[in-house]
Amino acid sequence: MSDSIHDDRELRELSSEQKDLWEALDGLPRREADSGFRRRVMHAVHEAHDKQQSRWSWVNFLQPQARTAFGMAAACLIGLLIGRELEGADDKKVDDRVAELESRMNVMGRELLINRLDAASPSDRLAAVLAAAEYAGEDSMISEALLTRAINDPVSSVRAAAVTSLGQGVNQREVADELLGLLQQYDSPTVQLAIIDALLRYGDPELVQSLKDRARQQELHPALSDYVSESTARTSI
Amino acid sequence: MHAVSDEQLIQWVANGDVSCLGTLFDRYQDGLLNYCWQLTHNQAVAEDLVQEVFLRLLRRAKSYRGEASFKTWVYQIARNVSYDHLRKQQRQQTDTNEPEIVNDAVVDERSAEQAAAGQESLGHLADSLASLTAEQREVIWLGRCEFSDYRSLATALGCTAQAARVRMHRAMKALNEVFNQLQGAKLDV
Repeated sequence: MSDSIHDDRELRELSSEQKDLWEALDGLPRREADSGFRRRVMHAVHEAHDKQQSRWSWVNFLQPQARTAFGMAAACLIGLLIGRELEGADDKKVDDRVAELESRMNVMGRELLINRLDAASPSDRLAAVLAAAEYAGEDSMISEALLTRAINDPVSSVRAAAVTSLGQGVNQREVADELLGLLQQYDSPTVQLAIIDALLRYGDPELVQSLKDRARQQELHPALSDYVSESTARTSI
Repeated sequence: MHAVSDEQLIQWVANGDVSCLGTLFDRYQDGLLNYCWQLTHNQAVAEDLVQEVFLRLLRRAKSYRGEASFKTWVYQIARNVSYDHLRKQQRQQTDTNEPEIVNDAVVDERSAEQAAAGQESLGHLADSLASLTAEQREVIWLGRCEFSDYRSLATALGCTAQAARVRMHRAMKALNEVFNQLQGAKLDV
């Protein structure tokens, strides 16, 4: 008897009266959480973790001076243990450990970056947006976080930088479509310029045509309409 | 396939690196939210339950032994959290004798969405599924959307593979019957 649910003959025969019933389940609407859901859950998790730490860490019970002394002694001991272990370890073990540390750093870096994109300070957000450009095309979560910045950030320079960062990694039609949609939302020439650049770089003929139409219908800032006409004529798209 | 496996991430969480829960959240939030919603039919409650799942993951990360896949483990936790909630809700209703009104709101919302989309048949399917018991909805949803084999489904449901198969057949039969009734009622009109 097959273990696979989808190959279960009895199940398929059962649903033969409405033979698409099983497949149709796929079409049922899915629930989606709002964009703040992740932040709320992670905030609760971090809060619970902090509580857990302060409750269980017996080091907290020590006097500050004793804690420093204890910390130094622990660091020495850990250093000695690591040294001893590395000395006896073979190369493969060390490689595995380095690979593990690398993966861990990647996960932590990504988390930090996504959190910094939500920072309260505009300059922090701007720095995070610029740093995120490198991963925009590879990591969908980062692309999504950048898109949120491009749409919702109250500061136009952050919005423009987010669009530019997204533009460097645009390799998905959906992202390009979202960017095109943003053109209508913002009349800031800086943001519009960043969007136009990103879309021209993406180079999809349909999107470029749409840009040209908007330029013709004067939906863009006048200087940018000329910019679109010149750029598209130059590249003969 | 992810660069870092779920099992590795939860091990790092157990070692004190809470940030890895963020990555697990990104991977599982959609599935868990839909599963909890299927059991509760209430968006706000489903979100609260998903949050509780991640708080339990934090507390229990050290107890994960890797005997089953992380996915089946996390769904076991979600199942416990959801059933705790349903039991509590049932107790409260018994105490206060208040009628259940949450499902009505959900049906209204769904009807509006689907009428707009003109997907009557899909609407009937959603209504049929909603009319089943929580246990039946759960086995169908998990079997269709989350697990492709009875063994994993059984582990998540806390029963044997044979029992999972029987439950699935009964649930599908019930769904089929309700769906036919609704479709028939439509033709009668």
